[in-house]
Amino acid sequence: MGRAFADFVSLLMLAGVVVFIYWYDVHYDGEPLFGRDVSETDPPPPEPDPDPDPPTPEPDPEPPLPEPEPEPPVPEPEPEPEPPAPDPEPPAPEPEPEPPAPEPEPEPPAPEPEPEPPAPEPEPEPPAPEPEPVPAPVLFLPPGELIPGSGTGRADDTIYAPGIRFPIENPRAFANSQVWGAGGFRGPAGGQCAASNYNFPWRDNFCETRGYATPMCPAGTGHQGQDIRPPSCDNRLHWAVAVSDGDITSIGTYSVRLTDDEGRRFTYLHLDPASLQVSAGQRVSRGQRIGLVSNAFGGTPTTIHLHFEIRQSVLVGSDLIATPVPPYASLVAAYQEAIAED
Amino acid sequence: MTRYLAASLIAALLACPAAGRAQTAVTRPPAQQQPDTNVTTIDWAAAERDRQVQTRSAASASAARSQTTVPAPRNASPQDLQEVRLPVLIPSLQAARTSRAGDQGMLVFPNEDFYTASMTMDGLLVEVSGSRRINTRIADPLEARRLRAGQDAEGFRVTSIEGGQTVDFSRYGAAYSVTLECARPDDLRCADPNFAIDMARRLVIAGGSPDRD
Repeated sequence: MGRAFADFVSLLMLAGVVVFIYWYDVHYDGEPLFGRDVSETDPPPPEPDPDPDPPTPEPDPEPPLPEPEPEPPVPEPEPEPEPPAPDPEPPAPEPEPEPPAPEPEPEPPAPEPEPEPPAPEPEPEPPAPEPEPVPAPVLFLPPGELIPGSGTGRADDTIYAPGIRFPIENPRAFANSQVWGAGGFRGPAGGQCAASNYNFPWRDNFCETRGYATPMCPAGTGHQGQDIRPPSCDNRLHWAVAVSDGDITSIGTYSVRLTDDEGRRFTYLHLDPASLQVSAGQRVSRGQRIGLVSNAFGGTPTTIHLHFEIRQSVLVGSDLIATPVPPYASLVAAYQEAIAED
Repeated sequence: MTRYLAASLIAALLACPAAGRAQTAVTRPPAQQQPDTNVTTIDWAAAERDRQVQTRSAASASAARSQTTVPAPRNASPQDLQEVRLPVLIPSLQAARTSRAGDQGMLVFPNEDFYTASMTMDGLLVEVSGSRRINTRIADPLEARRLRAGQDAEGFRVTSIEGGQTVDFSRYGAAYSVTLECARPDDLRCADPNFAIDMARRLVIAGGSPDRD
């Protein structure tokens, strides 16, 4: 009797397990009971990832629930008359055949090998960062900007002699101070052929400190012209030329004076006397050779340079005054024109 | 239509700065100063008075020394000098206390509104220029004061230059300049301002006449 009861209980338990498994299968659609939060909702199938990253591997299909092992056959009850069960349990239902393991959901079509994302248009190389603008080299310091300590210049960009030709045949010359420049009487060491003398920027030296009365200088006195070094530090190599059509009115020991058809007077100093190509009284044409730029200065040589002056008539009130005028701006203009034509 | 209007508006906005720049470039005053071809008015009456005094003085000097005081130009005729429309002042060699006439004679370069005369004597180069041509005008009062400064009572401004001296002055409404340059650096004629002023004082009128019209 006791054994029969035990068998009955075993059957009940087995039936319970079967019912549970069935219930579970119905409600949880084959999902394992543990190992996940049942409250989660299934995520939608992953959208094809636009990201070109390698697609995340498909989650493995849920492993089919393990088929319950076939119950060991229940031994036939002995034909012992058993007291009727007070509440005869319905016969344990035949364990239903395991519902077929849910077909593994068709894998969402492997995302079509994404058409190779069109090779990203070789994006136009981002424009190389604009190089820092390099300031253009200064070729000409402003009029009146003398070497510090060399005097007070006249900040005047008036072109007093428009249209003149540059006074040196090869115009690649350098206007600067021969007294305060390297190798000059008041200049730093280095010799007159120092690179700094034969380089840009040009510098005005009209009004540089001198004792000469020069009414257009702020101090009333100063250098009356502009010093110009020839293209190279070679004595008697570079030709000075007529800046305008005109007459050679006089020739001194190391000077040549030219008056043009506007009444403007131009003075060339330090030309090599032996090289002069003109004579006093001669009519010359613009650009005609006059003489070689040298260091001639009477008995005492100076540096190799051309001292160039412009004198003209200035109306002040009712008085017309003859005076040296600043040549720097006129020379810059003449240089630019000559270089453009070169 | 809206799109067209928007495009037009954008184009107009983009064009404005360029147009502004172009306008600026056009309206900017040219840096170059055009040569001023104006001339001054000459006080011929004053010139005539001086010429008469000079003639009387020369006559007495010539009678006393029997020599000319004015070298003859070698490249121009007296008529050429008369064509100059301002009094032509040239050095009086006797007044300059030179021993002989210019080594090579006198060169004169006459022009209607200006002239230059030059000569060399005893290692002294003398160049005289005169002009009634206005090359530049100065209106700034400070500048004007500075330009008039440095003149002596007679209106001469004498100064050393590289290798010599210059005397500048205004007379008869024209601008004159006397430049002296010496062959020898130790030549006192190029160092003594009195010599230069004396030369300027004794310039003589050798030509020039008013406009015919």
